[in-house]
Amino acid sequence: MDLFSGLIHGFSVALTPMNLLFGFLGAVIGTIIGILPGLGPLGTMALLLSLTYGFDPTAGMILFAGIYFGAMYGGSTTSILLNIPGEAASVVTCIEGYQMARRGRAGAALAVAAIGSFVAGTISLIGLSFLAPTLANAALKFGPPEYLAVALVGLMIMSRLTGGNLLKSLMMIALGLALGTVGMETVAGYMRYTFKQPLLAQGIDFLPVAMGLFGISEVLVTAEEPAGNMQLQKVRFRELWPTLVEWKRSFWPIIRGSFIGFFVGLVPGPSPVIATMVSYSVENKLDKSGEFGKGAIEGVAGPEAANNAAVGGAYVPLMALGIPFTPAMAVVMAVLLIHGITPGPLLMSENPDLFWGVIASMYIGNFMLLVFNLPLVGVFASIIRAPLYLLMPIVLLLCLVGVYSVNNSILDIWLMTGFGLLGYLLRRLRYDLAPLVLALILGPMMERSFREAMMISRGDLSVFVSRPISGTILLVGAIVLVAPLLIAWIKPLISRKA
Amino acid sequence: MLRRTGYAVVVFLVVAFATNVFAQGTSAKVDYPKKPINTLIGFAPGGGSDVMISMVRPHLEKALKTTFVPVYKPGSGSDIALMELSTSKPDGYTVVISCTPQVPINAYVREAGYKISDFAFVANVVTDPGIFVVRAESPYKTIADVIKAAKEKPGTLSVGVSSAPGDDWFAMHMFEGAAQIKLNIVPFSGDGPSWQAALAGHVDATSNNLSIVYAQLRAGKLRALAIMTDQRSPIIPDVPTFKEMGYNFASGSSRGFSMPKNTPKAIIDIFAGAVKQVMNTEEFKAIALKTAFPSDYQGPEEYTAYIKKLDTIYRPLWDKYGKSPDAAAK
Repeated sequence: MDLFSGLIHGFSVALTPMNLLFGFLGAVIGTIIGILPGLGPLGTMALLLSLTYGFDPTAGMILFAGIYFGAMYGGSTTSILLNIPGEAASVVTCIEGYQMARRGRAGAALAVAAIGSFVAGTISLIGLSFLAPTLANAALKFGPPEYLAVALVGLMIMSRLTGGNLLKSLMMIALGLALGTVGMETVAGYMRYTFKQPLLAQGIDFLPVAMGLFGISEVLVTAEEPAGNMQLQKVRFRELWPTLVEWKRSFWPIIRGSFIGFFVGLVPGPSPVIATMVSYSVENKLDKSGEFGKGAIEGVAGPEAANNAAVGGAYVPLMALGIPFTPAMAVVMAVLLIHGITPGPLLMSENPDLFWGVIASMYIGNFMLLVFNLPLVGVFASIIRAPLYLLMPIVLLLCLVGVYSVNNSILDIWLMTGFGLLGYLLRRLRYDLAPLVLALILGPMMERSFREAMMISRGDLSVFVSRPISGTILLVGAIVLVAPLLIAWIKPLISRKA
Repeated sequence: MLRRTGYAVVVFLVVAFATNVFAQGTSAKVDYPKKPINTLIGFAPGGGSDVMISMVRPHLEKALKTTFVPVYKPGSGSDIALMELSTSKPDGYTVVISCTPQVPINAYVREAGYKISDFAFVANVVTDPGIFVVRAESPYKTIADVIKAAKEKPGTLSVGVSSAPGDDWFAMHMFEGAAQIKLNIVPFSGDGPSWQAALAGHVDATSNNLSIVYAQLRAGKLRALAIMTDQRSPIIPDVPTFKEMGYNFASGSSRGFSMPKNTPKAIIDIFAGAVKQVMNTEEFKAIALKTAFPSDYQGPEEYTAYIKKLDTIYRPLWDKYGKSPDAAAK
């Protein structure tokens, strides 16, 4: 079956009332769990997993695709409105999104995030339909040395992410990396910094740290403000939507973010997170408005497009090769397994109904998400009109329940509280928090890939430069790092001659 | 708006606490089960434990006329879930998915917070056999090729394993001993990364589990050289066993159900009986064969003896290779 007849066949499978209902349900559930901090798409899908035994496998896959896409979008809502990243992939959205909300542009930020997510989702699905088999094989070429190269370049981008004081950024990165070493080390299972506490053996999870540093510290900072400032600016309905200028400014960031997200999404590991970072720093570099850090719409549009596109990218290795690169994809795979279908390289030829049905349903789910979310922009944006003395306690409660619900762990609640206090102090001292959180996510991946690469090469460091992909990535990274310094050095020389 | 938030909070609380509300209540002697059963899962969603419980859960719920509430307590190689089970009420309403080799070896190799004697082993469900796999383009066609290459250049042939100390890690050390060779054993962070590295050629081979690599074997992307079972597997009957080639070891990763010690025998028998009955239905068998789910039912006595036996096999291997990996690498 070639591509077009495949897709048309797919739509004929997916466009049954029952499947449409599941697509819609998935989008709704996904959006809700994305908005609520804590319980993410992974936990939700796992809870619903055995329910899908009662459905047709296509319906189950459609439901889960809706949840996954929905969560990626929903996660940005709390980031923008309350500075609480519900998902790792929305940490970057906090930086500009929350500043926009404080300036009364919450509606614009939410609308751009919704449209950006839709456009990016569509672009990545087109990529998935056309390029899946080719790209999946390319993704496999990424071995441990390549992961290390990606993570290293990611760290470099991070150090200049928010453009503040370099020394302070580096200190935050170092702290994040150090926190990432807590727990059971993955190669030989040794315990590090666990103080014989079995609960610490699993390491410090990203979520309590991010929710503490961003969410709890936000509550504390707000509580400190004088009562007169407690009410944020009133937003009139007309101002809920982005202005023409804001649309124009968002257009290219969305397109760039989509492509960045799709290609980065192919790489295993925390790819949506890296995609948002790359997109943010690209937009920051290209920015001429000078608004970055104070609520630049480009800084919402790009990363939001990137994290949704990365979801499409993540489906490529699953659909084409049966490789679940992320735990969420593994749950999606389990839907097929309980129906007696083995996802793998033969899925497309053995179960064309399912394969094309799912791809078609993802287009539908993506569209439903837009239909469901755009009308809600106004509703959500009005949340911040609620008096803060009501809103902030609710936020606190949601954070507490949310963080507990992920691992059912009391330790996570304490971690979140502790990092909330730390976050408050750091913000008062004008440190950027995003690099800390992102380093915590990348650190363990870096260590693991470095050690795996070293074991494979038997201690030969040259693997990192002699392999074409990792060599190229590192070279590009080095150029990006050195070029500004070089330009700064050459420019005066040239102007002196002239 | 507040009402909307209110609804969201209610929905959320229900989801969050549904898992715990049912934990209270009275214990039954023979009238079991009367309420939902909390199922502790020691790994993140999407892992082998998840697949196991998803496969049997719909059928088991019908047989026992109750529901299973999955409670994820991931981390530390399932130690966190096992620790929780060790302090749970022995009333049959809390079970754990117990996996080998984490049970029994974790409690031996580190401070685990529980003892193996804290558990009653109820029923084993699946034993996923170890399998030695190379990619399709690999020059190694047989185990003899692998051994020859390993003897020519000791310690250079790289074999990916899921983790140390995982079942694949133990298996490869058993293979080294049986064949008198030295491999370069590379622990990855799970089965998946290990076979993917072999498929892409980052490592020469992978020691993995049958159900994990089955789709790739069937598609011809990976090639199985030998399987670590006593008899050939009905799922891939063409693949020879290590034993028939004269290398006397077997290995695999088992997952089953366990309860706290002192759980009444009547309850254990009801639960184990239901597992046995479910796994014997034609419907279940058909799905199991299609998805390469290597069923291996063991009742309470058999399962307990199996865990004990593994403990005696693994301990000396860990003492020799694991305690000081740096020394073992030399």
